[in-house]
Amino acid sequence: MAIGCASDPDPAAPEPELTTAGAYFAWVTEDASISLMKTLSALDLGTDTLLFCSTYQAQPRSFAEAGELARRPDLPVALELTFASLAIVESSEHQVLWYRSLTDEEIARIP
Amino acid sequence: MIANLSAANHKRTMPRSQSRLAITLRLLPRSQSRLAIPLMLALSCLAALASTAMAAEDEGRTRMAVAPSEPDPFANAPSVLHAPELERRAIAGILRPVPIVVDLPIDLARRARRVLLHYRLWGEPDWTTLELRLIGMRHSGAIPCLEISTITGKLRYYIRVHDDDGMVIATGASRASPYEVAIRHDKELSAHSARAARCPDPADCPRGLPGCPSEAVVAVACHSDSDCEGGMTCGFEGYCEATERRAHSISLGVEQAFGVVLRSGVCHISAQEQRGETCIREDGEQYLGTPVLTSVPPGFATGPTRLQLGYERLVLLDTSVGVRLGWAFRGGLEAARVPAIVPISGGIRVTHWFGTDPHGALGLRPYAMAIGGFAMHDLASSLIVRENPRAPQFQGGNALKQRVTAWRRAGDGFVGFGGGVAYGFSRAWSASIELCVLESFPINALVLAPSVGVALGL
Repeated sequence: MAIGCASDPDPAAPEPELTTAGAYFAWVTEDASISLMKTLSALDLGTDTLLFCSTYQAQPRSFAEAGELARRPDLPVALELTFASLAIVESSEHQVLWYRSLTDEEIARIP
Repeated sequence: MIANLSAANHKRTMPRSQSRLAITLRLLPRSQSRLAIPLMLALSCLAALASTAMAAEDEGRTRMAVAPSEPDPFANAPSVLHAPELERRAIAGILRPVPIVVDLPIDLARRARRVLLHYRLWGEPDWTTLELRLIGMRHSGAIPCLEISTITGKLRYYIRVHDDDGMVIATGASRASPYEVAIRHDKELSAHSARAARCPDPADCPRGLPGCPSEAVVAVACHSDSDCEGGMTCGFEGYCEATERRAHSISLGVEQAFGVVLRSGVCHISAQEQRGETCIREDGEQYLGTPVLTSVPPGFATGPTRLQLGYERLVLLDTSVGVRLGWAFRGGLEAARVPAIVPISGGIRVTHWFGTDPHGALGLRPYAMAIGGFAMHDLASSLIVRENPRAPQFQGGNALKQRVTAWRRAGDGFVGFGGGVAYGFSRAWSASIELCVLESFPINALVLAPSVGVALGL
């Protein structure tokens, strides 16, 4: 049995990953801009994983700003469904920022 | 001494069969504040009217003695020393004291604290009370001869026996049906009676000295209102008094409930289904996600605000019982798919008042009470819920961390205790502030319920 205080950080608290449906992440694209996206689903292709994502209109200048934007539930969507290669995202600078479970509308976007 | 004279005269003037009257016991109606307690009482009373005895050759029934009584199953109620009608009347001369002697059986004598003689002279509007002095095994005293004076007519009297608490444990006659002594001029008495000693100079025999008439009783001890007569009520100090004490009151108040609630795991689906918990997101939707179970300390919660209407009745000098009906007009949980709070509540309470007469004195009156009843207490506290992103999703829109309002519907029963202070700003009106600590069940929570209100004594 683990004994601790409520103020203690919970080391076992699960964190979202790039492939977690509902995860918000930002990554630096080829044109050096930061793109804010939300994972809708992930498809394992064997050699790579295909991410089904929504892209937001925000143009954050840093990951911290992107994290703040990701917490806003009313953030406007730029592209409802885009695809990204997990390998490409992971090969560039990226960060998983936040998580919000998928709404029915978001689930409907998944092909 | 008077008693001895009386006894001697009786023995000399009356046959034993005539001089002894059988005293039977019967029960008075039960008072509201005291139930009869079965107890064997063998009560005997011997009331001797010495001067009456002197004049009682023909009436001949002034010396009372006792026949052993049968066991009484309701012995703790006041008992009546009952004498047949003819023996309730006697004759005495003017300017002569009327001695009264009461012999109590040993068991009653042990409980008797005071034996009070209440009498009223012919033409007098008020009753006067004397305490009979205990001499040996007898309680004796006399209606002063100077009060008898030269006015002829009927002298009425009765006797009440009080215990240590002031409770009346036996009576002889009553205010409604008293013993009577006819006061007559000497010429109407027999020669033997006329020779009895006349009134002494009061300067030679002031009240209270041994052998002299008894002191008048100023304060009659009592245990409840039924121990008092003549419209008087039993005061908070345990003496009969003429003040108007209000035994009933109605009240109107406002109560705001707070609670101390457990908050670990309260937003889990199972808790919401089975433990009376409901978590509401900031967008108003009920939270149905998959929270990460963390250790959260118990927290403070706010409950409903209630309007309360109450009625209380004073059942003892310092104790009242009452009922309260409430209506929760603010603070109940309102959410889709969750039944609304039942706003009505009710409870009974027993209140003990400290220090002063609860409905007869001005100023502060502290009290403590025990309460119980039914009420829904919707207790709301704010909570951060952390969503488990790796668990299957049951509801969309749940952020990794979000603030929810956790409601606990505690109740529907409750018991508790509390205390407060009432301030009487008139004999009828008072204001109060109190705090109750309640434990709800079967869905438990510790509820603190402060309230303010006003009460009107009736």
